[in-house]
Amino acid sequence: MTEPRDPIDDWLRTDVELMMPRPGAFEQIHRRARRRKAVRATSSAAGVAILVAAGAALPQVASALLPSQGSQANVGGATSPQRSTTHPPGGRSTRPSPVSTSHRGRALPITSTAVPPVTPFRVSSVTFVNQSVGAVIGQAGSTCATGSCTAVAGTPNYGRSWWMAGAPRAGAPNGDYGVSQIRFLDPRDGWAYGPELFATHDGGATWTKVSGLPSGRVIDLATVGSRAFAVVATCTGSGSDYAGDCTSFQLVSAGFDSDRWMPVPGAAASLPVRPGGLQLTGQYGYLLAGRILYAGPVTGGAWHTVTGNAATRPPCLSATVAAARARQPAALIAPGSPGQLFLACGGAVSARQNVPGPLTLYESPDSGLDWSRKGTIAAAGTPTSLAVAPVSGTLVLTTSSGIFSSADQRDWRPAGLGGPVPTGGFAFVGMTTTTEGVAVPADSLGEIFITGDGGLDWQAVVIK
Amino acid sequence: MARLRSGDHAAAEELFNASYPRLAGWVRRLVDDDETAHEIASEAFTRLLARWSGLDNPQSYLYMIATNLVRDHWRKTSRERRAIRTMTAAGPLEPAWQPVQDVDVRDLIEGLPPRLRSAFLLHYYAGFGVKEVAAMLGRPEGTVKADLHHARARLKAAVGEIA
Repeated sequence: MTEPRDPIDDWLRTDVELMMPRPGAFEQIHRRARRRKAVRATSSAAGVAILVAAGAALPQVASALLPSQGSQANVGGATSPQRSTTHPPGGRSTRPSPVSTSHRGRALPITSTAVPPVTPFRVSSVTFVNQSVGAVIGQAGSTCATGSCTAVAGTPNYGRSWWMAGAPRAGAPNGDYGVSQIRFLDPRDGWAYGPELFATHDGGATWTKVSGLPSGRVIDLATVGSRAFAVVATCTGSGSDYAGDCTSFQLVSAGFDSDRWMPVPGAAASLPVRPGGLQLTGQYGYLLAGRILYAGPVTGGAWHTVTGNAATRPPCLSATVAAARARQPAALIAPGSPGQLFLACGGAVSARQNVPGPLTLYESPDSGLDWSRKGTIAAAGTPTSLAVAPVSGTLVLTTSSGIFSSADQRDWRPAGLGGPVPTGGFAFVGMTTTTEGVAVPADSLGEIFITGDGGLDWQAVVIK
Repeated sequence: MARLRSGDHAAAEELFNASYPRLAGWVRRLVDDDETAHEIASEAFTRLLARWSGLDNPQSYLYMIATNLVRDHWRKTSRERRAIRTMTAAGPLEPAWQPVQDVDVRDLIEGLPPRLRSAFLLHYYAGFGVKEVAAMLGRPEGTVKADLHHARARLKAAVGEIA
């Protein structure tokens, strides 16, 4: 009779499969470590001064909080002149099933002819499926007054070079029509939306208008795993403010290679909804509509209202739909590691002075059931987007006045931009990896901003 | 600060080239995907390099950080599973995880008490000697030996229950 096998021993004896570092990994790590040392030294030497300066900036935090997102497998975001319509794609730290360039199909967007983008390329949205491959959508060229200049460009190297891809046959957003946002699930399957919806399944070479959706405007879309989710809303905003004044919504979902969008059970209501409230992680998704937080599996099945612990619930969340219809303080949500959720709550607006209260950060360790107050966010301007860097957990916030980051959720610092803050600030930020992230100016003149050090410093990258 | 010289950069790069592939692979067997493994390994190296000048045994420090990051990852993953289970208590659970053979053992290790788990991972899995593990964890060698014994006993018992 043989000795029974011990699976523990088997497991321990199995050789570790070596994983080679990605190109440039050491330099990235070395730069990040240097910055941390510098920050630590600065913090210990000037902690008091920083606190005073941060406090002085608080009154400038404004009322309207515009959407952002950071999900799991792709990072993407967008911007529109009047209302930021950010949406992140996903890559995140604990992404269980990261999308890779080897997954399903050929490389994103780039056409065989490798035509450089038409300039100026005014970017309204960006998406990255990993730390190499991404795409932007916007209006390209200088003679767009009478025709459509909607264009898509792709990059194989996180923004160092760009090529033109095919584009949806639609104009800039105008009420019920046009597109302004882009999201790719992998290098082959992507969507252009806001407010119409187009899909590509050939890396952006061709785009098809999606039919059969519920009536309304597609104001948010996120991808993860093998699915895409979209928020279809009833809105009355006009012109480029297509996502303005949305009073009801329905969450729909489709497989990566299917253009059959089906309602997600449990996630529809007559509630105000804004772009950026949809956030996906590897297993679960979140949707903030009005003051109601919804959560549910991204692998199929119903979503639920998260009522959570009333004693710890942040003031910008509500347990009932009736209360959620009341005038709401603006809020941004961003998932961190699995189960971890951050919420930036706008303060109540003073009736006498019409000045919003300061933005406050809350953290939930359990997908929104319990919350703890982390402190006031010391960042100037109107907050537009919040993202969490994978693993390190660094928070990055964009506002109408710049980009701010916090490694400890309490001490916020303005990021280095290598120049002046773009007019209007930023509309979106997303962190693809611990170190790499992308931000979209609120009124892009042809550039996006990219960080390679976890959000401390950003460089403008011109799409050309 | 005086030790931060160009020579340290070269030494750090040498350590990185020599240790990263194994560290990342080590982490990979403890987490769900390549991306998380790379990120945890990178974060461990970042923290190591940020303290480079003050460390006697960088290799040990590296694995200690990685062990802690994996522990945090497990804890948060577990929180999410619990939370969603609570939220969806009224309905059927989604088949969220696709267990593979490794995961069963990994789940058992994840279920060990923290003091036993760290010692187990560092000794049996990362290959550090009892003396090194004792130094890394700041515990007497005898305590570490006892912890390792208890860890193995618990794992064997858990395997027996499953079988």
